[in-house]
Amino acid sequence: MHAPWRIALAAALVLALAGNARADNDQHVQLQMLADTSAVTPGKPFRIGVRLTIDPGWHVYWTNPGDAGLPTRVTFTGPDGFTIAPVQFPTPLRIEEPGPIVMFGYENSILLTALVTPPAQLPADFSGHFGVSVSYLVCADLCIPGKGADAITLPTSPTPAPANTDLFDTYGRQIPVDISQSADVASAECSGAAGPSGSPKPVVLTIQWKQAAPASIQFMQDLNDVYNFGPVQVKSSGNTTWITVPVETMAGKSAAGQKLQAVVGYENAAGERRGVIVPVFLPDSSS
Amino acid sequence: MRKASLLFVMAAVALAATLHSWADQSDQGVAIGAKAPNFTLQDQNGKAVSLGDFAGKIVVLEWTNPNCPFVQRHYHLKTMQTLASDYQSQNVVWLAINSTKDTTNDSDKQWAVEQNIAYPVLNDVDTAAGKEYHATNTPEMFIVGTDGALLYKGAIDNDPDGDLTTGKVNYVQTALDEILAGKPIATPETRPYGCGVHYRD
Repeated sequence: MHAPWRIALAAALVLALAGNARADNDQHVQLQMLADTSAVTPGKPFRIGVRLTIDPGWHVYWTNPGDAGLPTRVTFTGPDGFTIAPVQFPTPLRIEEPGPIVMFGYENSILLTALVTPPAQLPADFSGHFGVSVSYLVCADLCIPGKGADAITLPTSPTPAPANTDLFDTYGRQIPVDISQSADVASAECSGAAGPSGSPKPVVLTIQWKQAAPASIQFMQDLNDVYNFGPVQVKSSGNTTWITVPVETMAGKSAAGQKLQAVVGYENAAGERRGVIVPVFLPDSSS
Repeated sequence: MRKASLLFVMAAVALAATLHSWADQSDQGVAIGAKAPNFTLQDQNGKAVSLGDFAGKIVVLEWTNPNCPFVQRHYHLKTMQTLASDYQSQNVVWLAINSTKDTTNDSDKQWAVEQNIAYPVLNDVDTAAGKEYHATNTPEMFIVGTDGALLYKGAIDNDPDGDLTTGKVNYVQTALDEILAGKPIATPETRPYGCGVHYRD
C-alpha cells in the first residue's frame, strides 16, 4: 500500500539530488565529484576532488579573489572516522580587467582536492558516502553567485584500482609547493617594507631559479586585511627574477612585522602550470 | 663574486627606479585623509552634478551596477536607500556612481525608477571618476567629509555572503555616526567586496 509512495519519494529524491549536482548549466559552472581510487583501503590515504567545468570566457575565484569577487568555498564530507585534510587549490591565474582590476582565479576547468585518511579498520562490507558542497561567484561581463553539491560512494577493497589518474596528477602538480619542494625555484628573498597608508613603498621579491627564469611569471598574494598591493612589475635576467610590488598598510591598520605568503605562478619548460609559495615579510616603514 | 655584485647593482637599480616612479603617487587610488578629487557627471535626468556642489556637506559615494547580484541584494534589502534617507536630514548627501560599460542616463533612470531611488545615479561610463578613485567593486563605498577630505573607503558591511545572523556591521553607518558625533573613525578602510567594476576598455 505504501510502496508506490515510497517509490515516488525515492524517485523525487534521486531527481532532486541529480538536479543539485547537474543543474548548474545556467550558472556557467558544472561540478562533479571524483576520487583517485575505485575503493577505500583501511588506513591508506587517497584523494577526493571536485572538478569545476567553467564556461569559456567566465572565471571563478581563488582563496584570495584579488581586487573583486568572492573566494570559491569547498566543503568535503565523509563517513565518521575518516580524516579530511584542508582543500588544496591549484595555482590560480592572474586575471586583469580594465581599471586595472586584478583578480586571482580559474578559467575553463579546475580540480580542487583534499587528502582523505581512512580509519585503520573497516568492515569488509563497508561502503562510504563522500560529499562536496561548493559555493562560488562566476563572472564574465556579469557575475552570478552559484552553489552546487555532488556525492560519490566508495566500497572497501584491499586492492583498489587507481581512478581519474590523469586529472588528479595534472591538477595535483599545479598545487603551489614550498620552495624546498620546488623543481624549479632554488630560493626566494623579500626586501623592502610596506609604506604607510597613502604612500605605498616597493617590496622586492628576488627569486633564484634552478635554470633560466620562465617567461610568464605571476605574483598573487594571500588574502589579508592589512595591506594593499599595487601594480606588479616582473623583470628577469638569467636565473634571477625580481618581482616589485608597491605595498601600503591600509588606513587604520597597524601592521608591524607581518608575515604573509604569496604564490608565484609560472609555466615550466614543458609549458605546464606550476606555483611556488614564497614568504612575504613586510616590516613596518614609517619614513 | 662579480655575478653577485652585478645582481646587487641590478636589484638596487630596480629598487631605485621603482622608488622614483612611486614616490609621488598612490597606486591605490585616493588615500584616507587626502582631498577627494572633484568630478562632474550627469545624473539619470541628464543634470550635471559635481562633488564640489556639496562643499560643507558629508558626501557618500556608492559605486554601483544594477546588474551586479551584490548590488541587487542590497537594493532588495534597501540597505542603500534606507541609509541615504535616514541621514539626509543630518547634512549627508548620497551619490550613486555607475562606471559600468554600456551605462546610459536612460538605463540609470530606468533602474532608479524601478528601485524608487531618491538620490542621483551618476553616469561614469567614461570611467574618469572610477579610475581616479580606483573603485574596483560594486558596491564600493567612499565617504567625503565636510572639508572635502576622504574619510572612509571600502565595503558597505562585513557580510559579503549575506548570511551573517549575528555580528553584522554596516561600516558606512558606523562611520557616519562617528563623523556626526565628532569622533575619529575607528575603521577608515576595509576590503571592498562585490563584482568587479566592468569598466570599458
